Amino acid sequence: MKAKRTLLSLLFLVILLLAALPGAQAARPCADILTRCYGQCNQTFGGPWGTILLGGCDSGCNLGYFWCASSN
Amino acid sequence: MNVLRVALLLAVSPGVLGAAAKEQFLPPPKSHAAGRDAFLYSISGIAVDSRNNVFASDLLDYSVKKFDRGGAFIGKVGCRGSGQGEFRSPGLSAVVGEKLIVLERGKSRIQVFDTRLRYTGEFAVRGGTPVDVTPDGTRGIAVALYSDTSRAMVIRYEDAQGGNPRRIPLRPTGRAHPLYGAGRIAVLRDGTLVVAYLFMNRVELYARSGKYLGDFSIAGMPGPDAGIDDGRLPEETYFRKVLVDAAGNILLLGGSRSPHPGRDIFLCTRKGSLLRMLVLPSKSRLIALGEPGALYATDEAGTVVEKYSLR
Repeated sequence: MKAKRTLLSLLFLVILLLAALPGAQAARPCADILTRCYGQCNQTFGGPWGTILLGGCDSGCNLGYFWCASSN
Repeated sequence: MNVLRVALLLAVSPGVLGAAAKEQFLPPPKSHAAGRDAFLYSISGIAVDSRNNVFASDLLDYSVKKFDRGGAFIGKVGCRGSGQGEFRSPGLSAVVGEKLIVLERGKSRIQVFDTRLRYTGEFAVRGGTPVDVTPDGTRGIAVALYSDTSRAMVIRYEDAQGGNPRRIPLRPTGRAHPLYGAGRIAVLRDGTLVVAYLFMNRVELYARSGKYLGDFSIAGMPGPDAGIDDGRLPEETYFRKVLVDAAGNILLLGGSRSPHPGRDIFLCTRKGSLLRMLVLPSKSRLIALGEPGALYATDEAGTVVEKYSLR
């Protein structure tokens, strides 16, 4: 009985987290996009020779963030 | 699919003008459809000339479209490209005399047309990305720059072709992220520069010389330094646009932080006293002033320009 109750509680928690997740992402969509943009830059230009390109790429992400946030 | 709807309606607001702030709800505008050429897919800038023709930058059509005072489509300029009269991302615009100035989003390029939409030249700005443009006197223009690596500034040009630029550094935002320095601008008749920050509840005034004159904020929204120190990048705007009227007052379009997000227009004196607060019937991203008492506003989707009477 106790194990069943624990399982149900855990299930509830998981559902609660899943329900909250889209809301949490929607609250800061620009920040979410920025993080992904930085990640893409790092993946593409993150090697030893990519410092300048990485800087340019990150700068592009920052500008994208500006346009995203300024339209809110 | 977006249908062109350039709604030009005189919506008479019956309130009494007074010293006290008065909240008024403007009735929703009517709209009508026009020809396909005149479709507005995504308005990214509006400007009005002395004949009350309306110029709408259309981001998705890579063009600027012109409508007469009744909302009839007159013509357009632009296609996708980087040549003369072509756009990658047309954005905010301004009319100075017979010149139409068009910014490009995320680019340093500024193109100049006459009000018949004929290309007359272009110039580039340095030191940041242009994020707003406004008439400066009868001939000049001012351009607000944002940079993620240096201090925000405004460049004031003697003429619409980019002549004799003068840089006005804005007050430093201290520990805050450079984003907090991004602002919309307008210039009062006496040459005073008005800066309304996108991510701060703060409006600053600068003399023609660049001297800082003072600032004010709008009651009813979080204070001027709200959120600056919480370590997160700002994601909600306080002001989307600032204009000045012929009487020397300041109009501010509130952003998502406003009591009615995207709908509030605060009419203030240059000292920050709130004269009037208008609430648009629907959210807007851009506003412009035309003939005395006429206000133009885009809708949230950016497919319609609406005209209101402020009288």
